[in-house]
Amino acid sequence: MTELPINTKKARVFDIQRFSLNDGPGIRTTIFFKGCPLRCEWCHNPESFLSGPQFLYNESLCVNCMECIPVCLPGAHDKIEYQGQEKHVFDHELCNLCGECVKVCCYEALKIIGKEYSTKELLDELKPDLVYYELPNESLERGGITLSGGEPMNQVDFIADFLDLTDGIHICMDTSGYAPPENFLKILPKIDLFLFDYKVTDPEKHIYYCGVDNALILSNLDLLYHSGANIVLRFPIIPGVNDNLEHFEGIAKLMKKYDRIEYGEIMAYHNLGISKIEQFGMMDMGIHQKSVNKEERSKWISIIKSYGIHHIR
Amino acid sequence: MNNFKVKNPREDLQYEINFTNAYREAINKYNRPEEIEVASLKAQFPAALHPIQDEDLFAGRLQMGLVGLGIQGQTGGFGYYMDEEKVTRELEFATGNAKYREDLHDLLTFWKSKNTTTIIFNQRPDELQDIFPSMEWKKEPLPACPIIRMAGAFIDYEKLLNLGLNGLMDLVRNRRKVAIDNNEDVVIYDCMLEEVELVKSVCAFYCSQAIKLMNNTDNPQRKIELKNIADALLKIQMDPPSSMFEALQLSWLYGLLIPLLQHGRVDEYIGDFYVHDIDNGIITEDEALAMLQSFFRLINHMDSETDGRVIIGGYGRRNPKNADRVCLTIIEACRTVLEPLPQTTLRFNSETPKAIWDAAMNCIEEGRTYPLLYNDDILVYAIGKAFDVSKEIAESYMPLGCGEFEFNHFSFGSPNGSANSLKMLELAIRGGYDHVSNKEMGPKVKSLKACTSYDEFYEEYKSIISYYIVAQAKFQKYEYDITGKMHPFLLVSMLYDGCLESGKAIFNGGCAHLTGALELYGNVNSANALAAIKKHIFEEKTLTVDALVTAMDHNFYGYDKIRKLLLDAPKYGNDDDYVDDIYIDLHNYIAEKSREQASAVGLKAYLYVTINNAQNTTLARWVGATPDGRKSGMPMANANNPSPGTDKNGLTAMLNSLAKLSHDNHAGAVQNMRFTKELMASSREKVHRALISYFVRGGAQAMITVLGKEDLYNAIQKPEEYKDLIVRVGGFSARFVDLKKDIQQEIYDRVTY
Repeated sequence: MTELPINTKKARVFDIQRFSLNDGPGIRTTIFFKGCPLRCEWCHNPESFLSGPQFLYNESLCVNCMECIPVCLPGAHDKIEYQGQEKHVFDHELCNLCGECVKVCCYEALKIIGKEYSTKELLDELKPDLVYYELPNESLERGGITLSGGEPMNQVDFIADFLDLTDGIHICMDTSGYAPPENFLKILPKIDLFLFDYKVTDPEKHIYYCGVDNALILSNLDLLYHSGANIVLRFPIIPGVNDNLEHFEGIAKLMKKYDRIEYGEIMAYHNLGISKIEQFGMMDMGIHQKSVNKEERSKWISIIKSYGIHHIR
Repeated sequence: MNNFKVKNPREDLQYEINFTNAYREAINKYNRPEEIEVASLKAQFPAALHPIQDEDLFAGRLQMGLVGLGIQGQTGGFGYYMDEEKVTRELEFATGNAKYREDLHDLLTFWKSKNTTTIIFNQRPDELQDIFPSMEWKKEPLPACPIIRMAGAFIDYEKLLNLGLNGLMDLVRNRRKVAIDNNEDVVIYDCMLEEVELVKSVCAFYCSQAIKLMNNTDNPQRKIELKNIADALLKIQMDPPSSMFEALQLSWLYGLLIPLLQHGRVDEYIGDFYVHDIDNGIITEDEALAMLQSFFRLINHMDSETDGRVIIGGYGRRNPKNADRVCLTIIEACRTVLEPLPQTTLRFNSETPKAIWDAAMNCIEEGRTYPLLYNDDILVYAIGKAFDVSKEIAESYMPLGCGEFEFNHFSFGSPNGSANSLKMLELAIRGGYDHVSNKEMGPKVKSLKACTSYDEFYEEYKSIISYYIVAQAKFQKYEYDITGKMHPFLLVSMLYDGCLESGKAIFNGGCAHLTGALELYGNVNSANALAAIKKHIFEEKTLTVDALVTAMDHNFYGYDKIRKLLLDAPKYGNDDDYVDDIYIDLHNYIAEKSREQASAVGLKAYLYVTINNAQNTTLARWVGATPDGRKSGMPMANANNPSPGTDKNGLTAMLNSLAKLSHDNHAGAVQNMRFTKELMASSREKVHRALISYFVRGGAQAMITVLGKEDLYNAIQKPEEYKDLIVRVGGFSARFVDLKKDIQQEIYDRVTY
């Protein structure tokens, strides 16, 4: 599959989730932008990696009607004999993203992920839910829009233009922190809250697991903090990767250093993204385990609390 | 048809044979329907009643026969009825001697033409003969079909409990005296008195049974319970009830003999008794709860899944403080009696105490689906306007069965017609030809192919809808009139406004406020289909009529590209104005067209409803493939809800679509919403806020299902029906049905009760 050039007038989005409840305060709409410079092994949104469109084949929704086979010129769709019945198979390598098969699949097993939006088109998608954003919850927090991905900072020019249209709406930026510092400064005044990831403490391991160094991430965090940004730190914890004392201590140190941040939040590993990895025909990157249970998550929180950190949830 | 939940159901049809003989004797002996009714009821009760069961705190279990007398239909049949199918089966498979089989044959041939439903249908006016060729809507493709019954009696329980049985008889006697003074006929009053006597004799019947059971049990606790039943039954034969226990016993038993399926504003008529008994230390809160739990189980034993309303809360109650106090206990009974009935219904408004709202939410969150929520602050005004009644009357609105509105013991609004707007659209497309039954149906119209614009086609379609609405309204009025001549339903009449005063039975001029309701199915699918036609045939011209009809004729086999185009057209429930506007326009057309019929046929109101029950599935069975991409025979959307799997933009979008519907021109629209338990647990406050927003912005009603383990299992098996299920995890985007089966299984395994 080929990477398409990024069009700054438009951004490619892989999902818009209305009634989003877990990415910032209140009732929100989360916009998932495509494209990410990191390659975290546990990533649950692998469709965000590439900035171009991607083909999705969801085998569990396929009913083997075979309607896609005759319309596919490159021959990516085919059928095989399996346990005495005809079964549909798909080869991602042969797909040229023409979309002809999507037009005949009535069971939503085939999709092309990644739709381009202009700033205005994006705003139109969000407008109907403005009434829900304004509802104060018990702590009088307002809902709003969360920019997520992928790495939304990858599309900073588009986002800057977009945020010119969203005055009065509460904006969260869900970021890995991996972007040029001047980009953060550019949009800083428009962002009400950063949901800032801190993934792995040890720089070497960070490169190993996420594909990039964490120095830029940490310096951006420092920059945002000292520029007065509101920040929630989010800590993805993946058993066998960073559920170790070294990292928990690193988290504690960070929380102490930046004691003005709103709170820290543990994002326990879950395996829901595995479905997508297969559907996109991606390489399985190795993290393939059971979702973390509540008890385990509580244990991690108590460890961090034992360092004297209390605003962690 | 229901299966009464009784421990030892009757094994043969001797009861039915006896009832038939008694009825025959009565029609030979009497001329007046009142007298025949009394004689029939005496044959029915206590014979059809069942013993008090070990778990019952009140007396009164019923197993209506395959032949009998009832009002609503769901309790066995309407009027004098026979369940022909089951009687025939008994004949084919039953043992019993030659006499028994002779009697059964006799019964079958006797009732074949003499049951109320057949009489009413066969005597329909000439002009309706061809429009409604059959009552078999389950078995035949029919765009519209009358429903023969009188559903939704909301008797004046308050009056019953205030007066007691003797007080009620005094009232009747006083009226009888006036009648004599005025040289009026008194048969109706004599028969009323006899029917109240029958209620008393049933009390006596159960009283002696309770004493017998009491003497036979060694369990000291059960002895006390049975003594309470016996004492109460003795007392209510003479005096008005003076305790919550007596009040529930009387209201239950009186209703059972009709038999009623709507239990009225229970908090209002029980509230004062509850407060009196609690505040004077006569009963404990636990005892009150136990009574209500037993009451709920008894309601459930009637097994009529679309009925059994217990209504609480709302404006217009005589005693809001006391009623609100018992509300909490009623909701607790609802939470703890894990049965499909009663359909506990909370009318709420800005004055509803927070404790009641919170209790209701807790109950819903546990996956009970109840209480069903009705927003008074929207509905009182809207219903007042729709029915053209005063605010005071509007405040007494009662959702019956599936959700049709009536006014407490003031109006009767039996839903006596069903219509299938998607079937009508199917006819419109083919110019009035039904390809399923291979014949012409309804008025001849211009086919889709002959129409040159969307608006032209829409007018043709509307002319079919109008044709059936006009006919249904006529049938409704006819059905009231003929029922009035045949059936006095005196136990109902005595406790309905206007009947005693006028000396007339409820449908014979007694109830001054008869309204009608037309059940409409298929509107959402029709709107989706119209949107696809408008967009692809007329605006974008991406599809020809021939191609569309050919694809539909082939149930889309081999035409998947066309089907996909149709599936991708705008669908109601996604906050998309293109299709939502079409839906609202269709809704308003049907609503206004129905409303116009009231004065034409002589009813106080004639309104349409869009409600929950199984007809969206049964009627859809006879509708071929449709332009919304729906395949032949597949279910239509239920009530005012998106078609299964077509709402893909999340809860807020769906709520926005739902809130676009006006409520001042119909008699009830039901909205279903569903959430997973996990979502409710993790984001209770946010879900709550979204609901409040929906209600504040005009949402009138909500039926909220919190999905438990079983539902997730269904979602794994039938993903096409659960596309709205969202998995909520921070920063993550996916729907439940998009996950791999084994991951779905893992989530399923994790969900616990």
